[in-house]
Amino acid sequence: MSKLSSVKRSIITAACIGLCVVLPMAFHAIPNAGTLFSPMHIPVLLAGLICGWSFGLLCGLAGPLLSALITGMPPLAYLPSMLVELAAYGLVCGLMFELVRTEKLYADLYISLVVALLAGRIVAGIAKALLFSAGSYSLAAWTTSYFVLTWPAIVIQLALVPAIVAALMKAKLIPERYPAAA
Amino acid sequence: MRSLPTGQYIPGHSFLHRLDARAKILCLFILMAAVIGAASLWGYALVLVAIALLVLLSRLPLRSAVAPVRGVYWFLLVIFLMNTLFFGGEDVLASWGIFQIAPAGIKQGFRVVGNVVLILILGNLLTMTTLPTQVTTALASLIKPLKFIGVPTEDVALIISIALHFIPTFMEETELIKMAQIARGARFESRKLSERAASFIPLVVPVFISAFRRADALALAMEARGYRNAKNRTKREKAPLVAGDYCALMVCALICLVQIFLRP
Amino acid sequence: MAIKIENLSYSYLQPFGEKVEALKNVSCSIADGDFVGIMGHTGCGKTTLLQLLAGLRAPTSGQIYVNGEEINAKGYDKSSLRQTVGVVFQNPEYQLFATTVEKDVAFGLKHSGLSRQEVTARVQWALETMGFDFAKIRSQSPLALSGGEKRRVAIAGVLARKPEILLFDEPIAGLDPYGRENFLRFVGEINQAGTTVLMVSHNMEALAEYTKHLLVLEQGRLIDSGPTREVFVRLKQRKNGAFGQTKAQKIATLLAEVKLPLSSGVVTYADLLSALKQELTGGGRG
Repeated sequence: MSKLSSVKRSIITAACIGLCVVLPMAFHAIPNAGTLFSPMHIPVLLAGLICGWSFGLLCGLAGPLLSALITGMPPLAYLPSMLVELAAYGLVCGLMFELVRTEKLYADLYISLVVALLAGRIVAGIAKALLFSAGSYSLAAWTTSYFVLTWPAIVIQLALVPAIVAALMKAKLIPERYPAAA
Repeated sequence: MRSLPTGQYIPGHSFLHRLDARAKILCLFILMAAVIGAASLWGYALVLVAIALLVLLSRLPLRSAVAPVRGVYWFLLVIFLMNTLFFGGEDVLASWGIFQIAPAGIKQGFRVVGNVVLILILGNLLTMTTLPTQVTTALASLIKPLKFIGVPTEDVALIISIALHFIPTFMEETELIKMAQIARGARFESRKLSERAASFIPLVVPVFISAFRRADALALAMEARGYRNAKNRTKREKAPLVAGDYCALMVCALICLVQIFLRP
Repeated sequence: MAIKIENLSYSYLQPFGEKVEALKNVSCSIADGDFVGIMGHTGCGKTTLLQLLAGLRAPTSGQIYVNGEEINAKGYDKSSLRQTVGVVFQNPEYQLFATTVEKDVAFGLKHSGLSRQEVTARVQWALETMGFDFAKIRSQSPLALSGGEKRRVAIAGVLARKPEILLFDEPIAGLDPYGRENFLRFVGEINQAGTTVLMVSHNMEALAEYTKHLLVLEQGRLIDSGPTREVFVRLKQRKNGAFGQTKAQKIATLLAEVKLPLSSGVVTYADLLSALKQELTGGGRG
């Protein structure tokens, strides 16, 4: 999406960072929604898709950081691994969406999202194994915490993110990716 | 309009409250390194004493200083068990399938849980004695050296300050959208995953659209006023660190240094 | 009695523990089929009152009875309240989300137990009531419509549930004069058809012309209530006369200053016109 000006990208990224703080609070009241659906991931993925990889990376770093400072969630002790995970989501999602052009919006979106969601989990797993809890982190623990416990979140993100992108395009808040096809 | 949530900040005038936020963040990182680097009983005793002194210095009630630990004790139990059961090692005391309990595993479990608890308390001390806005301005000035590797740090600082400015508005709008959808019959409690995913759409899509609409309006206003990038903006001069700040940094560095000598 | 409110108070805590009393000891009752206006300055508690009536917030103290049942009592079925009471919030266009107008309007009927045909018929009825051509609009994206159209679609989404009581929060703010007239005429029609309507508005003309009763809130207190005309006349006599006067009332005040006193009952333009006519044809003073 090359038509967005850099000012607009900056402000949209700021809005996504803001939503990283607000969405988890909004879902707090709905039972289990926070753990099931990881609301903070969605603005990060969107910032990457819409504004590009550098802005996605920034959102992935600044979003959880601000949220931890303002709302106390996540607690600072879990922040480092979450920062790595979300930064990878924003970065990879943005890169993939710039590289993959199948002429079909939804195909581009799903490919970018799946690759990003995998990459983020792998990177966070490696970071945990090497840095944050060196030596104590096993493959079994990684599979449990990143796939078994979070697969509903993966399903929900794959359903929600393309729906949001399509809605934003319809509302003319972001440019169409393939204007001729629309 | 609602004001920005103040996080866990508890107003006060203690030494920790008065320290410069930049110094506090740096101290936090140094002490975290000291905690992670602790490898002997003496090492842990050292960081434990240091953190206990900090809690005293903060003049926060003990209850709130250790509050985050109480909130996550289930999680701590899980990490402890995972480390104990999967770590293995020699002198296995008991084993069952892929699980085994060994003294090394138990030690590892205590270690990891200890690290998490201490870092939780440290982080908590920072956020309880510092306003979120102070932390973010401090972070913005601490990332300045990144300019040399090509990061547009002023733009990053601007984006974060705009994000902070958006938060109260977004909170209010999200609350209203949630109410409006509940009023017209939205339900979020479905058990089936596919229905559950669908039930979030009426909430999340309007929240993003209204946030992007605000972003759009602000970007247009900024472009109309000729804003291009951060280069020409006037810079605010920051107050320099004072003696107390340097003292705190030195003490933390000393703790970290001693920690290295205490490693077996 | 559609709604009865007894000693209703609502307060909440702001960060740093500052307590805000949004509503203080409000009591009133609203009859079936009434058209009630709620008036007051920004931040006087109008929106909070609507949210409490819709059961979206719980009061700090006091009771709300809808059709004789207390809505915050234990065991009261909130989902039946959502069927009875419909709310159109400020800027309702912000709640649109679906891929087509039809799906968005039908959203509120999901758990209603209606058959597919009944749902379609309801959606058609609601959209046509809001002045749309159903065949034309049904498969368009609600997000790509114009501002006024979006608002009408959003209102249709509330209307489709056929609530007995409809609450509107500033429904005409931001509409052009034509859209405003249209909207008010439509609300008048559903009120005629038997729906109880409560409308919060800053627009004095709209309140004076369309509502039957008026509630006046100031800093969370109900300072006046009664038949619309009487309330407007009383408000004019208050010391701070600027509060809640229609333009016709202001014109009457100006005329009085140039020695042309009209009846104190002049509230709407129609009143002004007939009073002036009377004055010019040499009739007596009322």
